Amino acid sequence: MNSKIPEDLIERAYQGKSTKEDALLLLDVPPFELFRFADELRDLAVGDTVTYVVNRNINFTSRCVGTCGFCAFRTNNGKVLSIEEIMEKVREAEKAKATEVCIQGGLLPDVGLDFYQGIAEAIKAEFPEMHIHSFSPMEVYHASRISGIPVKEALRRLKRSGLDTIPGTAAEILSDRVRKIICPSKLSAAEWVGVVKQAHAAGIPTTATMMYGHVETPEERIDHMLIIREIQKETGGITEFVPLPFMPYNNPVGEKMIREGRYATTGLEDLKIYAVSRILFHGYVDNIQASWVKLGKKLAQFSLLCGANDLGGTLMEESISRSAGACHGEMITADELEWMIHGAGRTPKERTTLYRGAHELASRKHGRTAGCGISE
Amino acid sequence: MYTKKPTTPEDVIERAYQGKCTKEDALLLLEGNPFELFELADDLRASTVGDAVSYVVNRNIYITNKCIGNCGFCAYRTEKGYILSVEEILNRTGEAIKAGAVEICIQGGYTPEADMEFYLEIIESIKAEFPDLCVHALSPMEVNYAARISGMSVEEALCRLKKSGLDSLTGTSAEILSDRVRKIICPGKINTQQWIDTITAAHKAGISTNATIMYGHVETLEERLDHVFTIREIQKETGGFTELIPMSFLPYNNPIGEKMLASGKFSSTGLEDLQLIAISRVILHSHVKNIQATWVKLGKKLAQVALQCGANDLGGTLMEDQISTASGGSHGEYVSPAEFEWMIKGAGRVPMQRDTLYRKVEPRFSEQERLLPNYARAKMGSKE
Repeated sequence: MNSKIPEDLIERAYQGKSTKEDALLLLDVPPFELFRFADELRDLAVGDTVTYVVNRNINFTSRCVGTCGFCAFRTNNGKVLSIEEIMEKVREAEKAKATEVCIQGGLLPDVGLDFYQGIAEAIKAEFPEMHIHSFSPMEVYHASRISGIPVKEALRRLKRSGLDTIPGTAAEILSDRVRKIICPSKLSAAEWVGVVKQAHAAGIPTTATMMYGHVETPEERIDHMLIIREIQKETGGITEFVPLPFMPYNNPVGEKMIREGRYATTGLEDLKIYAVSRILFHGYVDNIQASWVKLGKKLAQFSLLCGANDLGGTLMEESISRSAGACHGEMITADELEWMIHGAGRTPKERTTLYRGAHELASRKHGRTAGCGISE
Repeated sequence: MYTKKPTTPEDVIERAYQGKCTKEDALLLLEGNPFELFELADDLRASTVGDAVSYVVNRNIYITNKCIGNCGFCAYRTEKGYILSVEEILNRTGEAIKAGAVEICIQGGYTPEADMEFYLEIIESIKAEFPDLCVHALSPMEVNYAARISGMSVEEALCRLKKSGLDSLTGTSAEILSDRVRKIICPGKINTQQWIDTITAAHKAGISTNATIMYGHVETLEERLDHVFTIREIQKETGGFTELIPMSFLPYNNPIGEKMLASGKFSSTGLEDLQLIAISRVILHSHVKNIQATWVKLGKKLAQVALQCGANDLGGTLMEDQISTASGGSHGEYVSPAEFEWMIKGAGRVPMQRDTLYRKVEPRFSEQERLLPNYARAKMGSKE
């Protein structure tokens, strides 16, 4: 059986030189050929190991001055967790053997950098080993403006306060055409790139995300990934790429889609994005994360055969996707993640946020909290 | 360098095309590269049913959650539950018809209050009011139990059900057709032979059935395969099966599942689900035409991927599925016809609305969307 993927395209992929045209062509080849090719590159890049992180999400407020039309979580007057309430959650996370806390929240009207620094400092004072993976480029940008200081300075102060890494959220689709429709008051594509590059320059690595499946075109998806690749070429500060399918329930952008007869991306489309991102990032970003919250556990597991090599975090709580109709639960145990990984014929390994020290952690015997992946 | 080397032996593929896949072939295919298995299953699907992917606009109605059974995998059964009256069942059927349903699927626990007279009255009343609606109802277990308490043979019960207007019997209560497994998970249920006999008798009485397999608990891989081969043998004799529905076991809130979770085993993985769909397509090729991917168990996204792995049907819009929900199924209780069409077209295939017996039905989903009952609307995609 002859491969339908052209030889020269395969050659470029191995060299880490896939072009936009290559990516668009790959979306049209028989999906199993695409998946098998991505799986081959995954094997080359990271081998048989599939990683996950024991972590906790903490959303400190649903209150937000933003106007993103895809959000089902935002409120006008939601409660803001106090530092003590946040610390209580961090303590619970620490007890459950979490190595990372991922703290994000809405944009508060009068809250500047001090607030964010205060959270990081409180956590580091009590748990110096806890990895703080927090505050999106939008939050950093917002806080720097409220405090009237440059982003570069804000990042420097956050780093000093103990911030370890930044989630590469708020990226959505890095196209100003798309952003005007779905998140008109968010930072522009160029501003997002600017914050991320300055974070890397300040010694703060980030992840990179892409929220797809709303108003963007296939080309805009590919362009987004190529922008991320360019950043990585320059800074090397991106730890992983996380494609996030848009959940169209309970939010204006989604409701409009559904009225027009368009629904959430299908499983096949999700898998193609994972596979194409593996190919486009080959040689640059080694880790492609499948989000079980968005995909569901079963599809996330299958994506391990289509280019993904990481299953993300145990989370403990997840309120943002749930508001938008995700029904895959708020937590998963490390044992269940390992079950899924073994079921894919691969080797599970607990990792840190920076994908380090995983070997040593994996041999640790688990005694983690029980829980059962369902949301109620 | 990336190359795709097929590794499945020619004779295994040849036997698959002839509808003569052996158990050894099946085991070999499951050990090989999963994508090769999926491609084989997809080719067989294309040669059998072409590009059409079907679904049915239907509603599940559970007559009762009372049950004298003791199945360890059930999270739905209660001691003191509800039992719907014939009138309530008719009301729910009427709502379903307004929402465009062409099938009503009626099942429940088995309990002394539900005898043959009750079942016959339900079916006759529905057929009197809605003669065109497909009534897909009752399981071999319910028929066996009701026949016994009503003092008639299973054959006679089936004969009377047929006369009352039953279009199709559900092939549930099959679980895994192995008495070793049944003793562990459903000791009070009919045994393997009784299930086979009831299904065979139904087919002989002119009642079609579907076939199901509930996997991912205490059974071995061989027992799963034996189950699919048992279905093939029945089909060779009667030709009465419309479809096979592989159903992944949901391990939450029930004793069997809790025991599994406690011993570090979780629900079947996505890969395993797709492999079972694919191997079912291969084993049943030229015998059972339709393999259903059920979104209630798999989730919508994986169910759609299953269309590339041998499945050609997405099941029903459902509107209510308390049974899966009770066991931790979290995929909602309703998928609209428009969303099914979106999923099918996204797989590059052609949507087809069908009835229970896989006869083509003309879709009228814009109207259905409008008339969708509010309770179903609220449940779309979110549990809150």
